[in-house]
Amino acid sequence: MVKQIFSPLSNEVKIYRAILRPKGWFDPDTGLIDAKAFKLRLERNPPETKISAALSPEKAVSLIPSGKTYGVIEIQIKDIRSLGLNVVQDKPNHISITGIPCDEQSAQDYAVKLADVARLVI
Amino acid sequence: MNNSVKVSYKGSSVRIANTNINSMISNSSKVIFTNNNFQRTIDRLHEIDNTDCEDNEDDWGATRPTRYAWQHGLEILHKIKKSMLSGFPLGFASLNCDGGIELIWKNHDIKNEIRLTIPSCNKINMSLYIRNYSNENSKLFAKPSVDLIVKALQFLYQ
Repeated sequence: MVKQIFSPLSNEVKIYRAILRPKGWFDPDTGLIDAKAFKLRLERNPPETKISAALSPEKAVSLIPSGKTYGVIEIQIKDIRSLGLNVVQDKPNHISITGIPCDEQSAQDYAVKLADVARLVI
Repeated sequence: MNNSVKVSYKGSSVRIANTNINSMISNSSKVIFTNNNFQRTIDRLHEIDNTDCEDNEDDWGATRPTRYAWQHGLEILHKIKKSMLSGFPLGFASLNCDGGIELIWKNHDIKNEIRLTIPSCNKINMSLYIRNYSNENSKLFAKPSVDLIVKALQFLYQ
């Protein structure tokens, strides 16, 4: 459960997520975002439970310590909430997409749905 | 960051790696079953092995597939090719954060997709995820046989 100390985010707000690999985060045949960009990393110890994002492309890139990114994805909060997920600001420069069940099939299902409503902006 | 470019979006400026997204997108979006697709899929598997990286891991996770994933990825692609009577569908590859590999095939017309996860080591099972967009259903199979993978691919493009 993410403690919400910041104001709730409006449905109209767009959030941004950096692309961290030059290949495999979007479909090379269409250029559309692939589910990989939103897949919880359940292989990690402990498994990932939320997807990180930011309120601007600049902030999304600044979340990556190495600064090595390959583009930025934009997604509207309304579209995320319509999938039954929540979006909260949990740090000054950090947004979390929460509510994704932590089993492999559900994580993949939601990753596909999130990719479907996301677009590459940079 | 070396070899990076500054780009602007709605008044924001960000620096990203100097890779032209358009150059990463193939000219052909139409899926045709050809044996040339097999080589192109193998080439795309090679492309996720980022040999420029000094470290095997960064902020996100593995920068290169494990030796185990690499060998099994190639092996399974060859087995699929041998069993596909109607030619090979064009797929692409994606690296998992633990060094495993995902082999992905999509039917862009009906938006169905298949994702075959090749594990990073022998302690984890291979899995097959099939998504049917029209009825919003998906299935996840543990330890799929080559036969099942081939049937899923044939179903995907029928």
